Amino acid sequence: MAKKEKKSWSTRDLLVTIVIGLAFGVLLIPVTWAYAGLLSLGGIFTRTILGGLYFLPAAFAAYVMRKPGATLLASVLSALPSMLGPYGLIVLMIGGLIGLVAELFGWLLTRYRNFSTLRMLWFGVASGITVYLLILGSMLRTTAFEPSILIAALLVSAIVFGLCSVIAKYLANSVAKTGVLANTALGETTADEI
Amino acid sequence: MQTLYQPYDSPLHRLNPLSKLLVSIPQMTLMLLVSEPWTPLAFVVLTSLNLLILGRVSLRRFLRLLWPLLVLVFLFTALYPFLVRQTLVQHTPLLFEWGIIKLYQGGLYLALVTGLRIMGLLISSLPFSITSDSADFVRALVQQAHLPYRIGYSTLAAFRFVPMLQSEMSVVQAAHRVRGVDSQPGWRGSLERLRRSAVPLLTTAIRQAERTALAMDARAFGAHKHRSYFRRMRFKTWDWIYILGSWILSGLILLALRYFGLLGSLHVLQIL
Repeated sequence: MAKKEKKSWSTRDLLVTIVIGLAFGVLLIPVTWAYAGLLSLGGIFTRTILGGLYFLPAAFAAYVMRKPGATLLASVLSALPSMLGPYGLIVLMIGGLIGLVAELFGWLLTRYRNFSTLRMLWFGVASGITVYLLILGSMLRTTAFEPSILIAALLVSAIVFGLCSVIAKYLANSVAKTGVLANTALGETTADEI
Repeated sequence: MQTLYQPYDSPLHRLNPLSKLLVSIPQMTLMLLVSEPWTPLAFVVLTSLNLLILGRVSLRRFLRLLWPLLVLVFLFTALYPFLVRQTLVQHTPLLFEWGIIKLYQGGLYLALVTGLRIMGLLISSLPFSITSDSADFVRALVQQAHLPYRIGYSTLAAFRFVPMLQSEMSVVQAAHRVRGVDSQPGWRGSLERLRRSAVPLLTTAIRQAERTALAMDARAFGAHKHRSYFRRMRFKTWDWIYILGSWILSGLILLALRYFGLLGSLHVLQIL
């Protein structure tokens, strides 16, 4: 019964997950608009670092909600405010892709139970490597790049996603201290610990 | 929520948002696969004409929408040739040399192809972004794409929070300024600002979401498997004509490019 309750979605769970995605979407709007300008600073590396920021909502939702589908939903929803801007559907596609990859590794590495800092780090690193290979591989004709640049960008992606995953955890813990996450899986876990 | 959408009575505005998606997504997928400049160029022209003629977008507005994309593509194209693997392009003429920085014609060509592909990728979604109301899009997802209405209508309810969140974000930033919170310049400062803004923003948003969820539950939201709709979205004959017409036109463009040897090879994952 308890397992069923954990997997089923109440209206509150749905709204909280959607709002997590949208709130991060609002935070990321300036990043999306600054994208063009930032590209001139570091090209492929800037893209990779910004990709990590788009992983924040996925990691945050995974840590807070601990339910199958929450990561994907939050990631897709975080793309919505930017999707209706100049970069359009591509932002939604990237949000969806990051969400799918994060959902897969969230299930594989955490099983929606173990969210230690180390697991969160690996969750981010694995997602970063996969997202890098899928997004950059298909969008930028990366065969043309110097292999050293490709490897460096892959490492940057892994590090940035890993860091963002850990940052999302600490951000969620900071929000949890305000008491608003008391009814989420994270809040219940914290209450159990107390 | 501030979007690119502007209400107007044009053929594109009257279409179901999903039909515009069904045209944009195959075009965007194609842009990921191509390796020659002519295909993205053809689709940039096709989409621009679509917007100007069927979307009734004024030339002035179209150019205003286009400039961020042009800046992105320009910056990208300017930087790309210097990151290209030398062995791949050093057999082509050297255009410019300054110390270790060398610009080959082949590198410039690859940059142009990539820039055009990104341009094609971004512009393909404009017919959808400019002419589709976000609420209609969610309604169409629920009514035609069979997205569970609990997710669809919850999203629609949460959409209402976005302007509130945007103004909340301004209030938080103003509060920081009033209190003289020091902000470092550069990326460290940006990260610090993100952290300072995120906690109050998320707290407000989650609190608001919980209240809304309670109100929705109190009105028996989600109690029944099926529900009625105040505003019905339909898939009309014009939607099918638009989808099939666009697919056929795109197919003809590809056949013509292939006939003239301009299509080039298609790569599934271009990192391989």
